[in-house]
Amino acid sequence: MSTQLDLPMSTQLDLPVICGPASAERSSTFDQLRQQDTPDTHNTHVVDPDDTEPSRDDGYLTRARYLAEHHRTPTSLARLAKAELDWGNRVSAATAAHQAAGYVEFHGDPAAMMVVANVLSDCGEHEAAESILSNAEHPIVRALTAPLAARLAVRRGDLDGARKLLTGSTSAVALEMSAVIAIQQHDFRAAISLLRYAIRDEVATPDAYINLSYAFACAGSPKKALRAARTGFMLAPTSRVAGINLVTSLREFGHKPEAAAVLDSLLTVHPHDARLHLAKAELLVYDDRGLKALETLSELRSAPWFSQGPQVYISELMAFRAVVKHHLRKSSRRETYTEIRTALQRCNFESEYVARQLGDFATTSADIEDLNDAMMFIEHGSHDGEAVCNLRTRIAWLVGDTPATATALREWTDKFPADTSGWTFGSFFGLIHLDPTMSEHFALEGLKRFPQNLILANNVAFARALRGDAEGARRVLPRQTRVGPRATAAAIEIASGNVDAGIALYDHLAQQLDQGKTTAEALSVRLWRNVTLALLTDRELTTVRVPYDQRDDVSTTRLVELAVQARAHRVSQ
Amino acid sequence: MASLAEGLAGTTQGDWSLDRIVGQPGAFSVVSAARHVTGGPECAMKVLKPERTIDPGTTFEFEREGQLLVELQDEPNVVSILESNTALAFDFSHTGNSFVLPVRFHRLELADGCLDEIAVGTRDSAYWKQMLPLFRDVVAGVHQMHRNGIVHRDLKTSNVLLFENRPHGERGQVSDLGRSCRLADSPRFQGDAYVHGRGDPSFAPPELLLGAGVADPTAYRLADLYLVGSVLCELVTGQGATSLLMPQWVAANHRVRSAPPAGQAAVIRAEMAALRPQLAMIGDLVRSLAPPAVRHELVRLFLQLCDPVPSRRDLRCRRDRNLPHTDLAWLLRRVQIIQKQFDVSQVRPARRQR
Repeated sequence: MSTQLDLPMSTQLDLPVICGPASAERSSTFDQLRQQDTPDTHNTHVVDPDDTEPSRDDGYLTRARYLAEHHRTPTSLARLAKAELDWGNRVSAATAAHQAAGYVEFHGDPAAMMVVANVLSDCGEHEAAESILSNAEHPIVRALTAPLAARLAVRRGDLDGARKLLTGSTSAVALEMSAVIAIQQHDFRAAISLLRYAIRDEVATPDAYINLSYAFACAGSPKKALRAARTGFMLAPTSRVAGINLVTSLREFGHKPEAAAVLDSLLTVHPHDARLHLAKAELLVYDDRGLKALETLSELRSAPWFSQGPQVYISELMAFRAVVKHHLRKSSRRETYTEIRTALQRCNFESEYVARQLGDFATTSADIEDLNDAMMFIEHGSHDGEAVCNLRTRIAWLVGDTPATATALREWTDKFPADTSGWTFGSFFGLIHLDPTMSEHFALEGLKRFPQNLILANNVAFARALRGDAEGARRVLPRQTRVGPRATAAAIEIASGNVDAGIALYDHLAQQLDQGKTTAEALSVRLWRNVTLALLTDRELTTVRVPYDQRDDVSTTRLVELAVQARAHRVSQ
Repeated sequence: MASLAEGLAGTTQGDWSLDRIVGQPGAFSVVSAARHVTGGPECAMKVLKPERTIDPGTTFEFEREGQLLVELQDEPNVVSILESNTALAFDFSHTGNSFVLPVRFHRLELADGCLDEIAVGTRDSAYWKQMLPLFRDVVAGVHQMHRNGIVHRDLKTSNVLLFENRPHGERGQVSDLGRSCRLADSPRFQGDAYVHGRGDPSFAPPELLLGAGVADPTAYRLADLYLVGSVLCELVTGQGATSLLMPQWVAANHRVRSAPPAGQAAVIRAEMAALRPQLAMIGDLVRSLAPPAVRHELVRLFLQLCDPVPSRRDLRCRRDRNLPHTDLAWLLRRVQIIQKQFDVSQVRPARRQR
């Protein structure tokens, strides 16, 4: 059997990017949301060139000091704190803010409270700022400072607390922030509804659309993700995050020329952005122009700005280059593995991307030694990501330790509920152990998060078919595509013992799809045919060549591998 | 280091006896209460700090302030100038040495206080009774300046002087025209040099904090409208509008500046868009603090004047649409109506009691 599935699965450079209300930082990632310290640009305060040359105008600061001295009220002290902060005197600003907060009247002056809380937060006195905000009784102050209070809570790592603080706040800023936290908590449905509300009610910000696109993509709605990504990029045509998100969505839909155009436009604005260059090379690989991609990577490697840049990017380039070379059959599996391993070592185990590459590459073979080695390497860098969970589960499964596999699987899905592979593997794990209840559980849990996921829906149908519940299987058949129901109907036939009828259904469907030039769907059907045959029969599998641009569908291709491995496992037993 | 000019208090220079420093020394000048040696009323002598005369820009602005105040001499809500751009040799003493330096000064009417001293005080019913006429005076002052083709560009409560015992009670007058300019004058610098505007970041219009200013008369006028809204915010809440609207302005400015030049306009648009909901919430804050009788009108006015989009600050009702855009007659009329409403609301309870 030759399904040519020994290529590493994911070479995506678009690591999950979560953007906030500019707002934050706004426009801003989740890390920006956590970041509180204002950039040290206080010395660039607002001045007209008319008076920039000799010195800055400190008139407002001296006036604020005079006022605070002669009219000592929380209001005047808050004004002083703000003026000191604007002037860059953080210590004096914090002192004045504390003095203002010490007045009894302070709690009756909502505007002063707001200013003081912001000043303290900017000065790094987060606990003091939080204490002021928690004591604020004025509902409007609470609403106005909710984003600040939430940001401070996020900084502490209290995401639930942050969401609670934002509950009831209907401003776009609060809604967007709430959505970003929801995304971080893998609550994509909530994130989508919050962002939709924010976009409907207020003037749209690019960050809102970027986050919406990300949430849609995670929730398994690629079309909506593409639409939101397009709007986000239209609103912020120079934003790297918006651009990368759009490129990812476009690539999923095969709009490669448009994706290339987006990357080119971004590269004119950010000519020395390593990630964009890598993304461009990746796009070339997806476009079956591997040699051109290798050329681009070599050029990038020799560019002085790149070679003098961070080692992490150089390592990522090395790892990616190794994968591309392997794809072009210019290097052996062993060489590729060693090269990715070296790349991870060179960046001092810091790159999550290279670690993931190593994990992905190792999981494409059933070589326990490689898997253990990769596991050790990835753990060395404290990368406790999906790749580690995947590896741990796979190793446990390959050594035949069922309880350990189940534990690792539970840990995987608990820690990374947004990783579809965990749910797919879990449902598959149930299937290959002929435990339809377990399989159905994982598939249904995954479906809750990714209701559009065809694989998971099919696995539910599979599990029900195995249980002999053909009606239940038909009920859950995916509603989203015209292919899913028919493919699963074939699987049900096979599960019911009508193997030939099932195979005939599969072949007929694949042929129809080929004629309709929907080759990606035809490929899926052929892969599914192999999965079903591997799982439920001893029939010979057909050869299916998976082109590189279909490798994104990690679940399908991995499912085939696992099905093949499951059969080997079964035969050996 | 204290300026040489701060040591002038208690000295006699030429025909003028300088009594005491008034308020706090500014960045470029020191104001002293002065009286003619032969007697007469006290006046304020605004002396350009001698050490700042090295900078031609500062000297130019000081001179221009004098010229503008002379042009606005007949306007009742702009501080009255008595003598402008006078040069005199002053005797200074510093570290035991005496020396003579030529000094420039303006002589102005001596004020009794400054509006910010009231704005940081307690807000009771007497406060509102006093505040609305003073806010009207500020609007009138800016209206008079605009009518004369001059924009202020640095309006805030600390630049509004108070004069007591006037025929109609206390009166506010707009002062400190150091950053003002004539709309008819051509810009002194390249257009892109005006993107950051001027003034105090707690009160400055958002477009200037984000680096979206332009050297254009309409933009100057609209920036002044924001500053009037900020004065209203100061009078109601005690804080400048921008300190509430953009507490993280440095971060926003940083985001704009760190964007590539081609993308800055988009980042500015996004930042401005994010300000609108924040403004609405500050409007709620103003509503909760403003006197009940006029809170609705004050909030509407505040939201309009402090709109992050400059062009929306000048929206008028149908009746006012034919009024010229070169002055603030429409705004003055609205403020007068609000003031009248407040006065009526004060009278009604008294009648009911009777």
